[in-house]
Amino acid sequence: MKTIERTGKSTSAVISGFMKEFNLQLEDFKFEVVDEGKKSLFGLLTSKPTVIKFIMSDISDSISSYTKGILNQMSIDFEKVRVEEKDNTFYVEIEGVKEAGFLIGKEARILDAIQHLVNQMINKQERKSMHLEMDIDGYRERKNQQLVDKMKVVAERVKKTGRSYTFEPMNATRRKIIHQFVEKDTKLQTMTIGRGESKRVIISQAGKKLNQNDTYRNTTRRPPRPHNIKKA
Amino acid sequence: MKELIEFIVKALVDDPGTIEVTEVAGDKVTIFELRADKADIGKIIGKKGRTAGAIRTILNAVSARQGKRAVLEIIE
Repeated sequence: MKTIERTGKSTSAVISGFMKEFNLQLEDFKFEVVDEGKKSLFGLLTSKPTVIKFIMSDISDSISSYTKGILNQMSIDFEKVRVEEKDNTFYVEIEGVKEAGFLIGKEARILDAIQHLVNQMINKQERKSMHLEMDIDGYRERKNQQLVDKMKVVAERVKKTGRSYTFEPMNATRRKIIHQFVEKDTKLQTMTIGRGESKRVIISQAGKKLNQNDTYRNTTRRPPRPHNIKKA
Repeated sequence: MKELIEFIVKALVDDPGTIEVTEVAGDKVTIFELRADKADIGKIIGKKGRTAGAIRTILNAVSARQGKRAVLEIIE
């Protein structure tokens, strides 16, 4: 919370001037009238200006109110929106959603869309790039856990059979989970194939060069990009 | 729906006053025409059209639930 004081002729003049100055709307802030001021009567009495204290909300508040606003406009039933800040990342958790499946969308497309919009909003407001992760009733957390579980099985199989494994296309956040997990294992390596929306991660034995038959047929002309090839 | 678009977009631009959304209802498809200041168009579209894509994703989801189809057009 941030407070700013402004003075002026009348309550309404001070408020509208303040809104213009910071490009705000009424719902963006709260205010307290410190001094209502006095108007001069035919110059007989000295006039006193109106003093108003404005209370500006901080980033967490604006994240929460923008998210709630979008959900309300979409007529989604939810209990609350919780915002936490940790290591320069804002974690937004939407809790108690009735139609969670709808709000998440196929392959979390709707959740990603809302997350992107809220992220753009704070980037614009703060004039710098900020990281934001949005989750609905622990959905992403569950999905990430499933991915880690699957990865453990895949890692064992790759080590045992020596054959590489290609994951389905994933977004950057989920690919990062795989890369970071495999990084700890000196017997394995990861690389990425494909472009744009169809980027896939391959897990293979460390030091092994992939040939065309090993990689998924949907690769682009560009050769696979090695990520953390370990020295044999 | 119009309010949804306005609400989303107004928080993303520098000049929310110039944002104008008009609804053109058709037989099957409703077209929403979004007008904004030239300087703000880039912010609404976003890098590689990601922001516009996000707005369209939400718009499509909400209108599909109501059994309708909606199209968003961004006009300078």
